[in-house]
Amino acid sequence: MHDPVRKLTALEWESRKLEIPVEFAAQCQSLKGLIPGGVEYLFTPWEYSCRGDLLLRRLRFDSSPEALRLWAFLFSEKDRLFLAKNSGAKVIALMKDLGQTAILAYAFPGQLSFYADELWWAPCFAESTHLLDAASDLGATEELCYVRAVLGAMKTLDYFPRPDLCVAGVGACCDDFSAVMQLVEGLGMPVHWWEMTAPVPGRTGSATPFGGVPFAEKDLAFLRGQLAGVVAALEAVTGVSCSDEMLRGSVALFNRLRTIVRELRELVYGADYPPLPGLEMYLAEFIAIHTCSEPDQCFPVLEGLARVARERLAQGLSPFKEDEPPLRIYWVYPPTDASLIPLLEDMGGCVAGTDYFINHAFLPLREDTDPLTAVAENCFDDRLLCSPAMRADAIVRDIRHFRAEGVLLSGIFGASHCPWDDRIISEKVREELGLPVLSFDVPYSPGRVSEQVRSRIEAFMDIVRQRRERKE
Amino acid sequence: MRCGVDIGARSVEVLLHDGTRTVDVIIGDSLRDPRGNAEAMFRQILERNGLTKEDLASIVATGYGRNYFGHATRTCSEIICHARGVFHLHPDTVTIIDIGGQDSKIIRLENGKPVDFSMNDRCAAGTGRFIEMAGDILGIPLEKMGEATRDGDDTVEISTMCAVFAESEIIGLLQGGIPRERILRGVFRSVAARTLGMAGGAGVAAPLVFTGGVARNMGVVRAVEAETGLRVVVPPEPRITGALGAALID
Repeated sequence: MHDPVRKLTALEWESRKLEIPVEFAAQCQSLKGLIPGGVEYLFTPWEYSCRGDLLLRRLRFDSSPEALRLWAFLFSEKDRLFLAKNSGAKVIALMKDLGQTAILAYAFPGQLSFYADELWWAPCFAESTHLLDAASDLGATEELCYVRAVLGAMKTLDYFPRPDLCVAGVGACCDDFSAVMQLVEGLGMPVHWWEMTAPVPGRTGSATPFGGVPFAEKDLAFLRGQLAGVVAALEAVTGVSCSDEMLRGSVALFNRLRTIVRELRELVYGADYPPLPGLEMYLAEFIAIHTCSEPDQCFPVLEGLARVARERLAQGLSPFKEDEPPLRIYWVYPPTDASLIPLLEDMGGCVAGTDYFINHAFLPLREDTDPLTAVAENCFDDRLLCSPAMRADAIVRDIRHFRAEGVLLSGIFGASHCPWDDRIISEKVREELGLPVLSFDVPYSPGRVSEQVRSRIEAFMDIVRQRRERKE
Repeated sequence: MRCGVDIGARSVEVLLHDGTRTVDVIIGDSLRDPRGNAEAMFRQILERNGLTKEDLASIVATGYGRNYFGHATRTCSEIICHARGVFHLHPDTVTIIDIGGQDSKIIRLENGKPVDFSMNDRCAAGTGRFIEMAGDILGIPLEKMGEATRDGDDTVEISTMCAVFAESEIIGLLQGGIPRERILRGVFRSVAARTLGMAGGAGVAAPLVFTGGVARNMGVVRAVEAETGLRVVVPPEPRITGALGAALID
């Protein structure tokens, strides 16, 4: 495959797929531990679109086979979950925490855990409100944010089989989600509830080792106890007794995963001409949390992407290769509409750093302490639990690091935390860095960016461009 | 000769500029058929000035409907166009407040160039539509609002920011016997506060220019002056700065 580095449409990938070496496709096998020989998942975006994810027909994708593999890995998760269930494996729905309970769940063999939260993206890719409509029928109406799609999916069971256990985090986190999970339990789903606590500075001056978030020891002990409860619930549903060694193995596995994602972020967001598009990075970053239900397979997927990034940087190749380097935009909040990042790129920008609420999932986990303490400390680093001011500080540091020239905050319509964070982050960025900031809500119109939003991003990009020209 | 076309959510402005002065301008509604109305106004301005499309050195479209105007030689966002138009009229401007029919924005300039902006996002509060709705309930037409609120400065708090809920709040105030002029001043103050609140910690600085259809309403101008403590400059025709800027874009 010697095509120039560029973005391809779903249809272009159809013909291009024939050029992918057979050996590469053969490596893309899922569920090797459950199904003899595994199951190939390297289908094209067009093929996945035929199953209902229509937005894929209007997006463009990086031209590397490794990027195709990333997309296929994500969209084949649904198959994995149904196949695993049919093969006798337990299927566990994790909800609300951002990556921490997955570390505990993947200490257990013979189960597939997935983040049901991911379903908030499904209406966008399907360009359909059917999951939201199903949620509305059950009482989760539009005053709740898109996480209510999870409730619709729990009702229809179109996206995943009936979970053997739902692990639901509540407390110092999204209240919309707590409401949704109560309704999920009302459907008769088995739910294990656990409480997440917000980090509050204590007298001993303890702080998380990698995020530097101050916390009180008593809160750590409480949180550790809550996580132990999650482990006990997992033991009950899997019938497997969890040893310290099993948990340590999982912590080490997730550390490896996080190391690759950190490297990818540095390679891509640090480059003047990013070697990969922002949308592929969006998917890659979220894999650090949800693993697409298969941590082992994450390694070849992400390592492949990192290799592509390294090679392109060494060869001076990029899908953004124009005369002028793209305008560097830091993105805050995960965009609910997947077509927004490509829109930014079409307007001459690139994503140069992100805070999709999940940056704690790129931090290392301590391996020199007991695993539950390591996971609990990482919970305190969770940017949904920290104060908005601490999050704003971390974002400012990140923006400096990646030399961003502007900041976009794409609010999640109906999400209650955004209006608070939004203002604090915007003001901090303006005061400390003097950068232009655009804050906007993404209206729910799956896959079709409104003229209002388009107009705002365009105006914002004009200002960033003019600012760069003045500096030059 | 250059042409600027601003296709907004509520109105369309088509303007001809010869490089030194505005030659002609047409202002019309965009409702229901913004594309068709812009097209008709474009033809009209050409015809009455004895021009053809080929006589124009540039046709720059701006506003929400800019991408649907087929005659445009280029499009440009309204932030850039408003900034350009206001800079042309008032070169020392530092802050622009623009309140139109469906949105409001604050643009900050440095040496005539926009460096940051904020826009209302979530609803119609703080826009011309909000004032129009209040005028309908109070029975005061838009063109009479400035005059109706000129004498006196007593006002009433409109606590609801949502345009829909504010309607019932205003009705409640009327039923409570509050004079409608006083309520209207409360509406203006609410619009001003809402719009200025978008500026956040950076605030607004003088010289401050107020544009958009709402800037023709002296009641709102006074409310903005009261909220900011700054003198507000309103261009002679505040609705056309976007189209003027579009015509001046290189």
